[in-house]
Amino acid sequence: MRRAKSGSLKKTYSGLPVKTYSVSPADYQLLEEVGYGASATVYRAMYKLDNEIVAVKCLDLDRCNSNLDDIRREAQTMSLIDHPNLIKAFCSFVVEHSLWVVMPFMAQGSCLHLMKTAYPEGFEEPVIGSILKETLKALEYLHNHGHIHRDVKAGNILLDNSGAVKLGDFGVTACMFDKGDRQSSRNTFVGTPCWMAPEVLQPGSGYNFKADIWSFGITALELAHGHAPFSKYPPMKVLYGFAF
Amino acid sequence: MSFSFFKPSRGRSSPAELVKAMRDSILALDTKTAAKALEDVEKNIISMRQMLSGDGEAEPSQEQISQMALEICKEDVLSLFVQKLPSLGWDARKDLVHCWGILLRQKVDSTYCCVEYIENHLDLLDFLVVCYNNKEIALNCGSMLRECIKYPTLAKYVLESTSFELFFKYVELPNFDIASDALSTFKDLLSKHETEVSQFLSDHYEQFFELYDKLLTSSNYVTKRQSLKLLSEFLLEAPNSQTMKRYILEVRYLKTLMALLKDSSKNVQILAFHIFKVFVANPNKPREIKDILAKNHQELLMILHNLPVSKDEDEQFEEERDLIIKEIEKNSRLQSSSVSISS
Repeated sequence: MRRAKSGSLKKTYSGLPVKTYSVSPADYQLLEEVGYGASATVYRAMYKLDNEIVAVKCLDLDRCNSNLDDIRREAQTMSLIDHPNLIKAFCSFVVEHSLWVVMPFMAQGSCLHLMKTAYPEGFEEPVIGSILKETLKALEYLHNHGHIHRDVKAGNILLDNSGAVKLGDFGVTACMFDKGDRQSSRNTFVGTPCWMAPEVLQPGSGYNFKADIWSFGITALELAHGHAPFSKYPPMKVLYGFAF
Repeated sequence: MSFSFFKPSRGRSSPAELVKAMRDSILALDTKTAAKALEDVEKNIISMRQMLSGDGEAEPSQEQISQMALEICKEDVLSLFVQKLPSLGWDARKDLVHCWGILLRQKVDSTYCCVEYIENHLDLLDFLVVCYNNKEIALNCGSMLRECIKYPTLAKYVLESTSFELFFKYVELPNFDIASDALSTFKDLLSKHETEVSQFLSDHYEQFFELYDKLLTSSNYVTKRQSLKLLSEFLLEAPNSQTMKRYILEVRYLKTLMALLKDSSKNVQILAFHIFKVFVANPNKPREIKDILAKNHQELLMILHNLPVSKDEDEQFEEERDLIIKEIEKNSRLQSSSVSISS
């Protein structure tokens, strides 16, 4: 938790005029599906008021059985961050049973997607270096603001046409400040096995922002090889092999 | 005796000096040199944060934190923080929110001095509530407000203030992040302090539940689902049993829940069941409630039989459902026999 350098960070990013986006679904035209997960689908979409291409993540809330607090936390994290290397939510609103989250559209997709389609053996070293540097800036910002990302991997590092690199998907982010003044350890079990640090896999041990650095290291290997170590094994095997 | 000898000297100003500098820089925001003042305020806020929560290398000193809290109250800087929050930059606001919680928690000479300060400046709470209307700062103010209402006196004030009604509007704001933040504050207000809440509910029963019914029948899926969940959380709490007993006598609220039992969302249906069951299980059902249950018994039985049960739903749910089904069947038999006798 170094705050010493935050002065310079602040000057670079704040003070920009904030563009506001409409929260009416009629102002967005969903074009094609560009990604999907367990309960969410991401679309490329047209923001009609500005003719701007955006991404809209549609989350089926009725498929979230437990409670909606996690979703609230994700939405808040996404609107309380402001960094060029992090995907920020422009806005979010409820449409029938779904939550629509409007985000910048990253035309090149994720690093994972790019490797699958064009670089099955991984990227070249200078490319890896620059992707990692940008990702690290994003993590530094998140950690300085008390967030743990908890799911750093090539699939969550997105690229746009101008070459900008942004870390996305805060579905599992935790807030280190939730329980007290200073960062506390977390006790929950989320993320994707291959990229997860041993302390994240070990239930009850607690972990802090260092878990993201572990995942970051695995991501470095992933970018160099085209896949994460052990990613060809089933998730449960990875869990047992590492943690016990 | 002073032990300042042992303190790491980092060339920092004392809490009192920092608070003074903070006050001057905030007041200068209204002058011609506003840009420079803003820079100073933000610098001071960073120093305050370091003093209150450390900078990653040195642990904060409890003595300095206490002194800081005292000075901030003495110099009215706590009020300035709230009033000037909208003029601050993005990061400064977040730092300020972080410090706010720490300051409120400080107990100096057995009193929470900042909480006491707010008790004497209750308009600050009204200001924070109204800030939900300002998209730019809504989430910051929401966090600050939740820190305040951790303390029973402050929560009681908000519950009974005219500002409280605004929450019924805020939880339905179209921006999901703001609406859901308002809902979490609303939830804290209705669940953190048993005594205050139960007193409030019995004093403002009519007005409160009339507004609450609008949330339950909202066309917004999240509002409907979350308010239903929250209702079961506070209504079924032991200290609120008097309010609950009053609520389950009311036909209009039974009708609301019967409509929710038929909702297209399985989550809403299940949540509705957990309140509906209390109406049915009530051994002293008023005549009108019995009539409605009897009149609709076929449809109700069908809905209850078809309630979606997920795998992890416990046996208790099955048991309760069977009980409610039996009660509705019994009620309809009794009602029809009493009708035939009286006719």
